Formats: sequence, C-alpha cells, structure tokens
Amino acid sequence: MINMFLEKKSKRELFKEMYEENFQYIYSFVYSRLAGRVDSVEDIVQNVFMSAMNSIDRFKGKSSYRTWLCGIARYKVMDYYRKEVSFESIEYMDEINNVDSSLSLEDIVINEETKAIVIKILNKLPSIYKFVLILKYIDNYSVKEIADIFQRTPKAIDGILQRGKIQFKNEFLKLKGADFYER
Amino acid sequence: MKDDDKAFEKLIRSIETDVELAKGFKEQLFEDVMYKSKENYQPSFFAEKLFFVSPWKLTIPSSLLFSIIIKLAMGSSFNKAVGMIFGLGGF
Repeated sequence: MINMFLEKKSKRELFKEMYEENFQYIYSFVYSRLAGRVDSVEDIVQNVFMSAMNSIDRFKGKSSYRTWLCGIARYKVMDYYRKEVSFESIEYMDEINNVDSSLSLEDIVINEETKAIVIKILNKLPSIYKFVLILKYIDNYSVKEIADIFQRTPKAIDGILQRGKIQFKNEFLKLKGADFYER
Repeated sequence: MKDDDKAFEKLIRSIETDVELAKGFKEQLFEDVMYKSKENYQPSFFAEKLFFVSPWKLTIPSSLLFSIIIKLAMGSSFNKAVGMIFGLGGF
C-alpha cells in the first residue's frame, strides 16, 4: 500500500519537475506559433500540460520531456490552425495590392519594435496566410507538408504562401516604411 | 520573391523568443492543470487523499460498507445485515 502511494506521489513530483523545467519553453513555443494570441496561447499551453499529466505514465523515455511536450504542443497547435481556418472565408484570396519591389526586407534590424510589428502584421493577415508563413519560416515545413496539414493541394498552398508574403511585405512597409531603411 | 526567403525567415523567426510572463501566472496554471487533470476526477485521487490506498483496494470494501449501511437503514440488525451481505450477497 505504501509503495503504491509513493509511486503516485513521485508521479506528481515528476510532473512538477517536468513542468518547472519546460513551462517557459513550451509557452514561448506556442506563443510564436500563434503569433502572440495570448488567450488562445494560454488555453493551448494548459491543454498541453493536462495531456502530459494524464499520459505521463505512457512516457517511455525514448526522447527528452521537452521533445515529448513539443510533440503534444505541435499537435494542439495544428488542431487550432485547422479550426481557425475552417471558419474563414476565402474571398480575401484575390485582394492583393502591388508591392514596391524596390524595397527589400533584408536589411531590417531585428529589435523589440520589429518583433511587435511582425506580430501585429501576422495577426492582421487572414489566418491561413499567417499559419502558412509560420509553418514555412519558423518550423521549416515544406509546401507539401503544409498542404497535408490543411488538406489542400501543394499548388494552392504555394499560391497562399506567395500572397501571404506580398501582403506581409505591404503591411510592413505601410506600417514602418522607409524608417527601417534609414537606420 | 524567392530571394526574400531569408529575410522573411529572419523577420518571422524573430517572434520565437522567450516571452515574459505575468508574475504568478505559471504557478496559477500549474494549479489549474492539477485541478482539471483527469487524475483528480478519478477515484484514485480521492482514494489516495482520503485513505492512502489505491482505488481497486477501496472499491470492494466501500461497496460492502455501502450495502451494509443500506441494509441497516432498511431496518435490518447489524448482524443480519453483515450476514446477508457475506452470506447471500446483494440485496
């Protein structure tokens, strides 16, 4: 009886240890994938750790806790993406303004202000543009892999990616414009 | 646009940094997770908290105890109630 109690107690302790070590990392992981939508980030992070707590017995130790938690977080984030995209109309697809091709994003300095602007712009974009850009540039997913996630053709995703980039660049230049290039 | 890939990667990846959290948020979320996790809704949680035993050990005695209480409430004497449970089983 005592052994069983101790086993259960150590399970909780184990979870607490795992939580302490990985909370900040998982929070930041989800935060960047959701471009800072705090309410949803908190819900997802809570769900990640609840799933981890409920299935910690099944953790085989083949990877680190962090890798395991990231896998759970990725699954929850993809689920969120699919739900968000399913509520969205696709009328925006044709709304593309011409971008000033003489300006490049290459020389932009990354600082706190830039990060805030990136988050702001990503959240102004239609969800699918935002998620495709994040999957492509943060997670390094291929167009084919992104197409599988959203159950669309690679050609459609490639179109979305190009349009997303144009809209992102337009918004960026509109918001900060030449300021960045004068620094 | 292909040439912009590196610039896009740099810009969009910039949001992947440690986020500063409100004080106490981490602790509060831990409490919420512990409270809402399946673990807390299972008999094991109550069994451990109240009796320090695993649920399967608690299930049989608690069922018998419950049956005896019902028998007593129905007017049986204690000996009769116990006898009925162990001798005949059920109601």
